[in-house]
Amino acid sequence: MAFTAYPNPDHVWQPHAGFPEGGFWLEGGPPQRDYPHHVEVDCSLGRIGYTRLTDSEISEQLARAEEDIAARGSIEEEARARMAELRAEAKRSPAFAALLEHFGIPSE
Amino acid sequence: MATLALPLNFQNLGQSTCASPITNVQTTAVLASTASFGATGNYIVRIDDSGSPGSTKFEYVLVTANNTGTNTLTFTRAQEGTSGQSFAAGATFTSYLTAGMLGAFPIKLNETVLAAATTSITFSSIPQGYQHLQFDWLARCDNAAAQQFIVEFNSDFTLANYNSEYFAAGGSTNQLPSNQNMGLIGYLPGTGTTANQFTCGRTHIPVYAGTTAVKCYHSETFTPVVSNATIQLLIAAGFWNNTAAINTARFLPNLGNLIAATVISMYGWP
Repeated sequence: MAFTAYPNPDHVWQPHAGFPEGGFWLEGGPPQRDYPHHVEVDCSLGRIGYTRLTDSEISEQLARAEEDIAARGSIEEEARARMAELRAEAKRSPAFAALLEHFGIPSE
Repeated sequence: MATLALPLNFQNLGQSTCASPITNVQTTAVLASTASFGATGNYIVRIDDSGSPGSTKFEYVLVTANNTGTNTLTFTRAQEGTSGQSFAAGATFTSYLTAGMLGAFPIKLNETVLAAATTSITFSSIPQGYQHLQFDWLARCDNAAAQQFIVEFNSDFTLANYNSEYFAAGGSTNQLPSNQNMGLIGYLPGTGTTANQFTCGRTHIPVYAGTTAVKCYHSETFTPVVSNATIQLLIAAGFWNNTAAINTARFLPNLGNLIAATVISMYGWP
């Protein structure tokens, strides 16, 4: 068998290859710690492959992270507005404030 | 893999010989002494026609009872792929650890412990000889906000082929159930969360090597403290809309990388 999800890893570690103190790098030497990789463990041979992300994968991650930050901002804004409405109603109505307290929703 | 019924009561160094011959269907045997065997079943004993284990004529039997007063073993014949044999007086009975006994226990198949940030962790060429597959994990991501933790199978990276549902409870508040078009198994804290807070979880995939049913999983997770107070205790379940046997499993956060000290251990269950 071989690596299937990432068939051409840039670095390959072979553990337990008859060396009592550990394995060795079959390909590529140790990966750079600050560079993101996909890690794949081939359970049939025990080898571990490290595949660098492509430029397009990195660009996509950055774009999605920016979208995520923007989406979360609007979600948090909506949540704040909803809480403000609940608190205002709780100030007007003691019964509503008691209901919020019953459900563990902070009204202060 | 054939497995044996529990309880198993294996004892080291159980060995003795029988005084009389036994037929190929006889289910009891009187030995010189049964004191070194397990006092109760179940366990495997190998019978060798003569001498020590290793003879060409042998049989595995499943011992279900041991009467140490009469030195009598009671057993079920022809275990572990062997067939019933007749044995001469003096045949050797030896307690034996077999593949079937090992198959009665869960076993760790592999494990990844991250020393540096990693975008995804994949286990490929997963052994197919177990009934269920389980992953125990401790993980955190380097994205600013908490992220979905996702599993994908057999290099099918199309999120639309997965569907999942989760409930979460944080503090004294429950979060409404949520459906996700991905193989969600939990949520991971990000850099906006208190340092060193990881999510712990266990993801179980029943009958992962079968080819009849669509592949389902369930996942139980907990995060000590997160920036979003609605995410602390989380139960998720989902499916991969495919009946193929699972031979590869990839784990990754929806955004960002898994950070160093993330651990994923894979177990095969009988």
